Amino acid sequence: MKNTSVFHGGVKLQPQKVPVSLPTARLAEQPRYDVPLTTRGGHYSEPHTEVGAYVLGGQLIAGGRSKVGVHAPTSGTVESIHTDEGDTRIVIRADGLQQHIAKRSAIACEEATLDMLREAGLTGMGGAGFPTADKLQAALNGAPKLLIVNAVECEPMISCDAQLIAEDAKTLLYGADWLRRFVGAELCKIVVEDHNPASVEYLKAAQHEMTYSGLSISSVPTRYPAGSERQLVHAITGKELVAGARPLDNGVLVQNTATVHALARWVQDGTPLTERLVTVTGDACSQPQTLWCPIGAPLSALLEHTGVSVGTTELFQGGPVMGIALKDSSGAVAKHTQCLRIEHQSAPLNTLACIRCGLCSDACPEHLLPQQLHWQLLGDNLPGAQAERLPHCILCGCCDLVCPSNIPLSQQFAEGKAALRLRQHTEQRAAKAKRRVDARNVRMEILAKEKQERLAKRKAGTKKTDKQKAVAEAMARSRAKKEASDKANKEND
Amino acid sequence: MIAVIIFAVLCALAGLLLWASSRWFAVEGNPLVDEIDAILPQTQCAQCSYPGCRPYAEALANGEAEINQCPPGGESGVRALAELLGREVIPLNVEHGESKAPQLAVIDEAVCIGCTKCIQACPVDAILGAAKQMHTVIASECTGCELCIPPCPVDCIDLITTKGIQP
Repeated sequence: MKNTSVFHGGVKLQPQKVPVSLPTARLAEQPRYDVPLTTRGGHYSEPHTEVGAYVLGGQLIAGGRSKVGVHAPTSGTVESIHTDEGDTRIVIRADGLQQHIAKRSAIACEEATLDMLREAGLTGMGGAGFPTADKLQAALNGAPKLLIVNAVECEPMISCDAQLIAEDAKTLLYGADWLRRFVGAELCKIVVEDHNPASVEYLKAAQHEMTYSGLSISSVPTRYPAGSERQLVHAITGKELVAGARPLDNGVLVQNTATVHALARWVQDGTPLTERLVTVTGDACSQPQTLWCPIGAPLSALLEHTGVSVGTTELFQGGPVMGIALKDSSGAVAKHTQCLRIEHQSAPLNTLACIRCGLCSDACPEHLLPQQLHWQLLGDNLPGAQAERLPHCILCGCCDLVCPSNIPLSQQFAEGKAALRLRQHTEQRAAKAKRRVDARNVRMEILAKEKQERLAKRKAGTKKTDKQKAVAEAMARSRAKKEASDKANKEND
Repeated sequence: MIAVIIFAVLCALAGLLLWASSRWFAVEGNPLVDEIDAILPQTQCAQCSYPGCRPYAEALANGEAEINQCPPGGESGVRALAELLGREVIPLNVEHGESKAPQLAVIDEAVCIGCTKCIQACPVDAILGAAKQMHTVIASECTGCELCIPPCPVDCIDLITTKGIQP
C-alpha cells in the first residue's frame, strides 16, 4: 500500500461512517442527570450548589477560580452530590418543565475574557477534554498565525462533526471567525477528510452566505490518524512538528469542530455547553445514529433510544481504534463523549509473540519503534522505554491495526506511559522531600549550636568578669577612703 | 646493582604518585551512601528502625542492615537495592511494617489546639502553624510518614490514601 498522505505512517481505514440524517435526532428528556464535575484529564470543578436546590437549565452548578464551569442540563432539583472512585457527580432530578436561563446578546471578541470562556464550560470535545480556556491562554501567549478547525474525524464510524456541519454550518463558521479574531490569527482553515464531500458543500454554502474574510475550507486525504493535532498540522502546513512539540510551537492553533460550535453558541446568546452530539453505533445497535444528548444523560438512555437490549454485548466509549471498554452502561454522557459503541461479544484475539516484522514502525505516525517499546515494557524497563521515546506515543493504535501477532501494543503503551508518569512524579517528590529533610537537619544543627552558646553564656554570667571585679574593687577602695576621711574629720572635731 | 637501584627509585616514585593522587582525588564520604539514598523513597518514616532515609542508607553501606526494612519502598525498592548491592532479593520484613498506598496527613482543623508537637515531629517541615494557632498540613510536601500521629494530644490528624499522583 503506497502512502499517499503527507505525514509519516498511518493506516488506511474504511470510514464506515454512520450516515448523516436531518433533522438531527434528540434524546428525549430524562428523569435524572448525573453531571460529571471532573474532566477527562482530571480537572475538577467545585460544586456551586447544594442538595435540594432548584436549578434552571444552563445555570452554573460548579466552577471556581480558573476552573471549568459546569451547568445544569435542564431545570430540576439537585438530588445529591456524590463521589464514586474519585469521580464527583451532581445528580439532578428533572421537573420536566425545561426552563432555561435567560439569553443575552452576543459578545464581541474584544470584550470577551478567558475567565468568561472558562465559566462557559468549554472543554475539548474531540476526546481529550482539555479545558479550552487553558489552551487559548497558551494560544494568546503564542500568537498563532493559523487557526485550524478540526473536522477530520479520522476514526471510523464517528460522524459527530459531519452531522454538526450538516445541521448548523453557519454557527460553526461564526464561531471559527470569532475565535480567529480572538486569538489574532490571520487565517482560519476548516478541514475535513476527502471521503466526505457533503460536509465541504455545506461549509461552502454557508461561507457563500456569510462571506467571512480569512476563512477557507480544505480537505486532507483519508488516512488514520489525520485528525490527530500533530499529524493534521503536518498535512496542512507541510511542516512536520519536531518530537514533543505542540502545534502552537509552529504558530498553529487546532480546535475541534464541536468545541468551536459550542463556543459560537455561548458567544451568540450565552448558551453554555450543556449538550453535545454523540454517535451511537456498533454491530449490536439496530439504529446507528448521531443525536443531541444533554451532558449528564445516562448511557442506558442512549442504548434504549437506539434499540439496543443490553445482554451479550460489549460497550465501548469512542471509536473502533481508540475506544475504551466500559464495564456497564451506568455512566453518563460527558463533554468528551463522542461515540458510544455497542458490539456483539467477540472471541478474544489470539496474541502471539512479536516476530520483529517492523510493520508497526512503518505505521507509527510519530516515527517511534513500537517493537522496541514492546520489548522494553515487557521487561519492565521504564528508563529503557523512555529512551525509546515512550512519552511521545500519541496512543493512536496504528501499531495494533497492523500487528500480525495481534499484540495489544497501544494498551501496553498507555499503561507504560502512566507508570512512567507515576515514577517521575514519585522521584520528584522524593527529591523534594530529601531537600527539605536536609534543610531541616542543617537548621536543627544551627539551633542546637545556638542553644549551646546561650547556655555557655548564661553559665559565664554567674561568675564575675575581670571588669566587674575591678569596678567592685575600686568601689570598695573609695568606700574605705571615705570612711577613713570621715573618721579623720570626726577626730578633728 | 644498578637494576635494584632503578627499581627502588621507580617504586618510590610510583608510591609517591599513588599517595599524592589519593590525597588530591579523595572522595568525601562514601559514594555508595548517596546511591542507596537515591533509591530510598525519602518518606523519612523511620520504620526501618533508623532515624531517617540517610541513616538507613549509611547502615546499608556499612553492611549493618538488611535490604528489606523499608516498607514504603516496597518490593520494587528491595529489588533495586538488591541489584545495587549485589545481594539476594528477599521479601519485605513485616516487623518493619507493610507496604501501603501513598498517604497524606490531614489535620482536623476544628479539633486542633495548636500545641506545635506535630510541627516538631515532621521530618520535612510540611506542617504549618504556631503556638495556640490552628495547624495545617502542606499537602504537596507531606510524605505520609505517620510521625505526626503519635505526638498529637487530641488525635486530630488523619491519614488519607492518595491515588499515587498528588498535588
